Amino acid sequence: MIDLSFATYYILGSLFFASLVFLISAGLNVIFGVLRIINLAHGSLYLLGSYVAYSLFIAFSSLDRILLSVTVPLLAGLIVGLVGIGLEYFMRTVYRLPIDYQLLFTFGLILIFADVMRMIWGVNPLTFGAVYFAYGTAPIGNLFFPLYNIFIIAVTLFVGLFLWYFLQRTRLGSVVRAVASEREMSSALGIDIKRVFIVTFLIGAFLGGLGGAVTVPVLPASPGADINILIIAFVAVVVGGLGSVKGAFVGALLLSALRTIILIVFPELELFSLYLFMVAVLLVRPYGLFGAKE
Amino acid sequence: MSAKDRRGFIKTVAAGVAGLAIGGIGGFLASSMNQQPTTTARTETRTVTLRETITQTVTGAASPRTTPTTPLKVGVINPLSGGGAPLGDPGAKGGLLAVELINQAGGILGRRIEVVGPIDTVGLPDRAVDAVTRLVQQEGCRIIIGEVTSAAGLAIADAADRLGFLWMPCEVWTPRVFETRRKFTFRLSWSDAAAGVGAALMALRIKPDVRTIATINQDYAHGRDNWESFRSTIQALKPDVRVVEELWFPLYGLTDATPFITRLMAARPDIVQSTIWGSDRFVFYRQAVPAGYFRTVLHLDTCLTGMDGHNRETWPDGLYAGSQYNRFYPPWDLWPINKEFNEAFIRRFGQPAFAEGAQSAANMFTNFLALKQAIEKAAATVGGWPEIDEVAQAMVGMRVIGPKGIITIREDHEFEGPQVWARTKYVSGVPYPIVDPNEVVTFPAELTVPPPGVAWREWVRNYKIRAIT
Repeated sequence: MIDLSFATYYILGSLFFASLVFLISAGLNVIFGVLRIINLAHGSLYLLGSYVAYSLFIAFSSLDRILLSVTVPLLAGLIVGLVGIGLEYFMRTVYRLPIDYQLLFTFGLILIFADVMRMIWGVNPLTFGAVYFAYGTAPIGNLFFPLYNIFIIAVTLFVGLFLWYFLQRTRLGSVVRAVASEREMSSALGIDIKRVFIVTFLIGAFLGGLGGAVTVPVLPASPGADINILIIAFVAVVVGGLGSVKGAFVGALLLSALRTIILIVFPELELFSLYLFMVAVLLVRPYGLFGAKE
Repeated sequence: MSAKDRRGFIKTVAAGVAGLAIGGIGGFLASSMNQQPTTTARTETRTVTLRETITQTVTGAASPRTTPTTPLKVGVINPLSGGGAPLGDPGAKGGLLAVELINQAGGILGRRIEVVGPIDTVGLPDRAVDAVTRLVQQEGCRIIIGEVTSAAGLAIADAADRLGFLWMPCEVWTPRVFETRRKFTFRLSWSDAAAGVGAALMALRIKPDVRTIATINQDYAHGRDNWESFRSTIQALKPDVRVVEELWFPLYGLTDATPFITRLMAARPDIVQSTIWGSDRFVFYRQAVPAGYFRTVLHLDTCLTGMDGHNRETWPDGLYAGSQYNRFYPPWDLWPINKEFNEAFIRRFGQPAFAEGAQSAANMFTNFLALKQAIEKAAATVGGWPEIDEVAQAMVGMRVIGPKGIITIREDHEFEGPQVWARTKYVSGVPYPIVDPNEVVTFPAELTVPPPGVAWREWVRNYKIRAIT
């Protein structure tokens, strides 16, 4: 039977998984909310963040590990954010095209990114465990919970708060929201849409890169990780509602809680149950839990 | 290495060829190249000579088959992207290295090998079948080498019989490949049946009073078959052993392993068997170490073939690892071909094939050595460049010398070779756990590989420790 320490472990584990999912889906959602583009290459930005962070960790491996765990993800996120700005430049060609062109275009980007990353970093899974182990563990009964996982949960909460504050409380955030809901009207009022798009892409790509960087001590950067994470993030986004950051947050929590319960009861149904949940939500609310009806 | 180990090595890796002098890969390749068909035929038994006369009467001695002047096209496939790439990429490189060395030494009977590919299958059945169909129908390849995943491998084996091409996988462990009689498939990597039996023997060795077992594996043919073989064998030897936990997750699908680790630890099994590979294993190990998993659980990994390289920090200590090859086994001093192979690999590609990729590289290398040898053997038999089914016939019964030692290709197209088990631990001077050289255990093929013609499921269910002659 599950005792208290196991229950605590499961709950913390569930929050950890929810954090992974939210870190990836938040950026995806921010970009979709404003640009109305489903950026399939978001998983690639995530993986790029992992690889860049790996290289940074190796380059500065003599420095304090705890310090590195905070600075490296920020730096990696920034680098990926800059790559995102470059990407946005090419994306402009598909803004006005039907959605199938956008999907094809971003899918092509996945392949290009995958090949470039393979050329630079090879095919071996790369990970920097020293940071993970530097945090140590907390005893829970007979078990030990890695404190780095708590760090990831904290980063996620911080990202969530930052996004909320930025979108709801800053001037630039309200401009971004205005563009998201009324693009033509905002343009008519003199808002530079192009700049808003660039800023949005910078934030979205930054979040993707940050997610990859923060997770590389736990999840190795390796070919294929881009697609894996993208699928799970998509389920969370669809459940929560496309374009809604709050939706991504709740979607990640729900999805992770469901996954943990399924893993306790019937582990073989892990992925199946997630998709089933997505289908069920779509049947009842096709626009997701927090998505706007269009 | 002690005298005892030396004897063990000779018995297993170099079975039957004690005292055989091998002059390194270069000399080895060149010497086979110089073996003219007649010379080889003389060294073969009477049967071959007999077959030679039969074939000659059938084909007509008046028109001897000449070796084509065009290069021999060989298709190379492997997962080069996705979660299978850590094996597929070094595997493909091992194959390319073999081709380059064979070509430098004069090719096969003077004919150069031209590699078409490597083509990326992503380890997926549909992509793999697309690739081999294209190689056969558009490129005219009748020989295709490579593929890692069992999922894709089962599809390729069917295609090989349908389209009529000779196929030798890079890994593809599932014993289901040979549940149907295959004409053109030859597997020189090991099977899940053998790996599972070896794990069971190792489990009884480290914990003779084992009562409870558990598993965590990727949910597809490889994981399922490996576990079935392990479970059946150990229960055949100790019927009171109970399964207390079985955990399955999708291939390349592991992100957060904590719930799995918790369940395994909660079940308190005496032994956990696992054959997770690729990126999934990194995730599992990374998260299992701090949770204290390896301090409380005896974990047998039937899929670990190297302990070095970029990945070193991931390996836990106190882990029992089994494989059919690792970069340093067969030992370099006793088996110079392995040393030369690894050195040639580093010279060519700048770094060694790390961790489990080392086995893929050695497998692909061996595949090409076997191909060369089979073509030469068949040529000696038929008196000229052989057809593909004659090459396939020649494969049977062949002994192949390569980096993995000496392996025998059996009549059911499986290979026979030893199994290596070791424990990982920290040794002074090395910052990460490595295979403890003093605790290497080898199991000979007779103990672990189901005999030809015997259904593997039946064999493991009725497993008995057999006396080795």
